[in-house]
Amino acid sequence: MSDLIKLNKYSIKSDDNGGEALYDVNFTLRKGDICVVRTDSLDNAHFLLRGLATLEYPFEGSYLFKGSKLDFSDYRNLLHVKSKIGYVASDVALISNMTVRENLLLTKKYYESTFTTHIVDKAMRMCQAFEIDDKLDVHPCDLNPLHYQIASAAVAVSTEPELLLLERPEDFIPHSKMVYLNELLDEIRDQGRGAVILSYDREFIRMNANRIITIAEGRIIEGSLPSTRV
Amino acid sequence: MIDYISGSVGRKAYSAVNYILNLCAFSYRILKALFRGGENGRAIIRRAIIDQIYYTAVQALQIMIPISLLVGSIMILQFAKITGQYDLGKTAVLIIVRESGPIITAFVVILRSATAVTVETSYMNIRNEIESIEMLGIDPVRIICVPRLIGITSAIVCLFIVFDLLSIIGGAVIVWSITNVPVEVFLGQVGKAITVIDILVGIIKALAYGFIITVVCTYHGFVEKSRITQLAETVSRASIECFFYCIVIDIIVSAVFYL
Repeated sequence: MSDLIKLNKYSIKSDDNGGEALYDVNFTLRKGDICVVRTDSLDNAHFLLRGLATLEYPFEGSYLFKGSKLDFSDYRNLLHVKSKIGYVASDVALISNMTVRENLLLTKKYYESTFTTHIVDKAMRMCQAFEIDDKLDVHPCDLNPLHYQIASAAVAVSTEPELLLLERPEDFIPHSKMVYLNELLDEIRDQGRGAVILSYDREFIRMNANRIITIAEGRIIEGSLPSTRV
Repeated sequence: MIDYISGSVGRKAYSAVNYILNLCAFSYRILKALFRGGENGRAIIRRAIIDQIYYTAVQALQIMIPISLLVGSIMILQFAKITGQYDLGKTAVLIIVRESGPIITAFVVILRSATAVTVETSYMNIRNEIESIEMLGIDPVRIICVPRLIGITSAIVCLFIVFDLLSIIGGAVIVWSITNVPVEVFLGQVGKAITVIDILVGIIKALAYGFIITVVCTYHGFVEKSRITQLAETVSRASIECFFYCIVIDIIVSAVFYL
């Protein structure tokens, strides 16, 4: 299988005093990989996801996306890559002066110059599954935190990303609804896309991951595969 | 002591020049997004421009109309005393159309819209909404700054025209009420005194004010922040800078055309 992303001696460091840093990361994600990240430092794992989403710029090393080396000299060079990445994390935000529906339709409105109100089927199914379909015409500030996270995830899913970055889905997806996420990840795997997920839910890892990596002291260590996977 | 002072002055000068260059670079980025942004996003930008013109121009009319009537009245009232009612029309053109019209319009827009734009973009930055826009593959400068540039600039030009017309009407009311000069004579003096250069200068100033207000406010919004408490400081700084740059532009444009 060809590589979806490849990091070579990739090093990133936080600009603020948070202390997050990753050094000499060599990481390859192949098409169809569902990779779970384990770490004792939540900050570093979150930082890795931000780095993979190209929201953090490296001071060393290279990042290849589908074989093309990314140019971090200007954020505009990364926009076409970012549009192929779905980033669902604690620091993701919806546009506050737009309703949830308008947030879901923003990409369509931008690229197709259309004011249609038809939401992509996958995103609509997600909204219905997580019972926020009756909240599409409210502003994000009127949503409770769980629904806010779910709406953010729906926005990411609606763009049909080639790489899905997901941070602790167990925090905002009820256990009873996890089957929807499992189906989504199966679809990602079958379609040759990829996902990197930070999760501590053993059942979820067992069911979905075909790779595990561990972050220790700012470096990545390849872990063992889960013993069984359904 | 001398070393400390000279070092401090040098650092401040370097910092100021660096800041001006950053503003110029940001201006270039906005203009590039405006002229070479491609077809994508035009529907969103058009809608945002209309919204911005409504907020900046239409909603400002209820304050702009009384201000312009009062300013025109006050100017003519004072100059009627000084000049002895001679050539009040020319005075009105000199004071209102050339100078006070554009700058007072800019001040009203800064107080109303510049602060709002700074708050909005800063809030979007602090809440990571700008990052979220980037993650959709959309250039945030294109959908945030470009409509505000076009909207605010268009609004200032329109408001400046409204201000000048209403100021002259306000002045005409004073002329009618306290002087011996017939209103038609006053308006005839205004008509003779106003030249194409005066209108052109007013429009150039209005365009320049709109551009600088948008660039300064959105720049302050986009600059990295981490705390909501920095918002007040940012808005205050952006407003003061807008005032200062508008006055500098006023002086420069007037000097170029009238010296």
